[in-house]
Amino acid sequence: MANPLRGEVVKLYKSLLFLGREYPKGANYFRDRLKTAFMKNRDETDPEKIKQLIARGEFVIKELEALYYLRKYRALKKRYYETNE
Amino acid sequence: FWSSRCLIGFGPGRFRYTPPTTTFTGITVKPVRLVLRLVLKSLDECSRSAEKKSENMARVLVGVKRVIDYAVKIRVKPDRTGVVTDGVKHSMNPFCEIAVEEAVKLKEKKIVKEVVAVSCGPQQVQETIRTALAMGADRGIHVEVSGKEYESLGPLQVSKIMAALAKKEEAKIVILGKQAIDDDCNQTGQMTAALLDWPQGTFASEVTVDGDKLKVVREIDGGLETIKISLPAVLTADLRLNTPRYATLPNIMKAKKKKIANVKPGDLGVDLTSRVEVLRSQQGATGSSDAREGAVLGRWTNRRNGPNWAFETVAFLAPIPMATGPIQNHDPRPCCV
Repeated sequence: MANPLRGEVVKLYKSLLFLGREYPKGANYFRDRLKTAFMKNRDETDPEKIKQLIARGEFVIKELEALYYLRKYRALKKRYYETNE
Repeated sequence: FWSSRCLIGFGPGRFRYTPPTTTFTGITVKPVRLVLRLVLKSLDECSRSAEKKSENMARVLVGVKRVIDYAVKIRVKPDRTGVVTDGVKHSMNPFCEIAVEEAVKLKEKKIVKEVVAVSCGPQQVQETIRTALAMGADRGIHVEVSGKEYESLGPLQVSKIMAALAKKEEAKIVILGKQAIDDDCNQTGQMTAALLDWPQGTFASEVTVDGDKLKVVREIDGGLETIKISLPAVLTADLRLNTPRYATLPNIMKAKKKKIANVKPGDLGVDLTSRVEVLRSQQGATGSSDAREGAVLGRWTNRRNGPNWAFETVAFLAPIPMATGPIQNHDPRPCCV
């Protein structure tokens, strides 16, 4: 069974849900997509495949963090710094 | 009684010891006690001298402010006394996030030993301190200010609090964000340095340690300026200082164990009376700058928050020097107070 990895998957889901609160298109939009994405792979049993999917999830976490940072940086730069163009 | 049965050492060897005869009790016990005392004393001295020699005794104080989130559209209250803050999403000031990240980076480089996050305000400010703890601060200090006092809390009061705390916590470096995105004052860092009589490195876009001094690259109009300031010092973080890390869920869970101390401004001996009174706020129209009416000066607030911003008319309750000069619409650093 994939029981030892179940905890990892749940942790990943919780982290993504937490990150999704600030999603620009809305937390609900993000949560629906997240749920369908996780439910699509609910019947996986091969530990290798599950590890790959978890790695993909962690990649998405990094992408979201980068998205939030860039959004904030660009907004502040636009507001506080004169553009020379 | 116990002197004749005193145990030397612990563990299996203790039963091998045979107690001395009573005639020698007086002589055998004294050396044991003496030896123990000497050992403990030398250990104590060792640790104390290690502490003195260690350069990692430095502590960093970071000020964080809870402001309306940068992405939220600002609305002025219907009675025009301020900006709507109830039910509006709040978060940590972006420049304060950069300040916290810099402090944590200094700790990771082992230049400082401890990072203390400080915030002033009502109970809700604790979530901002928790975010700072999740980003890597070691402990937090919550200075309780609520109600009327919180509404009139300005850079002068906050800098008095920060100065008092820096002295109390014996901090070597105080790092603040360069300005808050709600009042855009850009004064707290400078005032704190003045009150402590410490050198300041404001608008820092790069900070390096050079011996026992700090080399700070500042972003100024027209370029970059590199200065060398001695410790202790006050730093103000600019946008390009670093990339603040996101406070992820596992880090927030870990941060729940960290302590947040509650302090009252009275305990620090700080007087919070404000010399500034907000007269009215109004939704700003682009391009209006008719503000001056004698001692009444207009002040931009939340000005940089996109197309909706608020314009506060503010009166001074005590004579203070005013920065004179034409008010420019696009001056990022407002020239009042």
